[in-house]
Amino acid sequence: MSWIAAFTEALGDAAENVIEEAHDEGNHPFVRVRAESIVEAARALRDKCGAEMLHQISGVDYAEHMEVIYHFTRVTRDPGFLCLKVSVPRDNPVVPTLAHEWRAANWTERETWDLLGIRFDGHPHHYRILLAEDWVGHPLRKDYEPPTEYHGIDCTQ
Amino acid sequence: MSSIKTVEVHAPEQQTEGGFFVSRLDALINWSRKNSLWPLPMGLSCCAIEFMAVACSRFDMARFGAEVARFSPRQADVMVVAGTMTYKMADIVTRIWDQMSEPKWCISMGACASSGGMFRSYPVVQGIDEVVPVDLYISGCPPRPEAVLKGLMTLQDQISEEQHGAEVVAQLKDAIA
Ligand code: SF4
Repeated sequence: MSWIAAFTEALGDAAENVIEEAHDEGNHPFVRVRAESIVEAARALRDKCGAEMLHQISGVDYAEHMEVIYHFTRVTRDPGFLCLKVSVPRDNPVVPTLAHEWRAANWTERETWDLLGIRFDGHPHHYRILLAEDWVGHPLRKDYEPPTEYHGIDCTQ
Repeated sequence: MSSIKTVEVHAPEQQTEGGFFVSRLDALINWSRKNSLWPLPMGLSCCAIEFMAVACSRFDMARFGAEVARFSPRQADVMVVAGTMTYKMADIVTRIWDQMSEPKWCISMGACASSGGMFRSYPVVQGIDEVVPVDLYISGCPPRPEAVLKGLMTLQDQISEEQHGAEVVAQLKDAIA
């Protein structure tokens, strides 16, 4: 049984509300879940499908909407990668945090906030992690305008 | 290798019994300054690895009096900025530079420190001379250790031509008079 089938089974009746799209072909199968249900989905994936490790959270700006991608790894039994995706609107990108479920989510969510401006609701330290604290804007957004000046340094060269 | 013999040693006018030699005091002061350059390795990225090689036994910066890498700005004479400087880091580099006591020099090591290198992107300062005064640029990505040694020797040449020694002598003369 593929992990996607196991995941759908683990969610039971809630599956209909949680899953938006399941993509089971190719090298990179993934499940798109509703943003509000990401915590529930991730918990089911960990407790019922053996996704022990959250090894990366990344984000993409698709110009019409934004996406957060969660990469899980199953290590002990039937090793492999499991992937959840969440779509959020561009004008108000908010996703509930996973930092209380996985400590690994703490920094990667901060990075996604820092570079893409996607907010993680309930995150314990919702600050920038890579760029300076007083940096303006989120550089990986498609409409990002780099600063012309930073602390007296001319940035336009 | 002209830089190694820049002390002006005047031949003793008459043979003395002990091991005396006569020199000009200002040349001696500059000579001691240039041969005890303690570097502050401001390692910001990959160039710093190359700088470690310069300090290690194969290339051995100690031969030029610069082996004592100090991580405290209070004890260092020359700041070697080795690597890519981001805007976030620029504040820290300037602050450390300000904490170093005079006399101080700054070497910009590698393409990134000198001009931003290949990184023309939003976080990278396009050359550390935007924020600190640079005495010497070393080209390369990363520069070979030989290039760093050559840079150090060139800086030594610059120092031996500085007016500082003469100024100290003038102050001494005033004090005596
Ligand atoms: S000049 Fe090259 S080696 Fe040096 S920090 Fe830049 S990229 Fe790295």
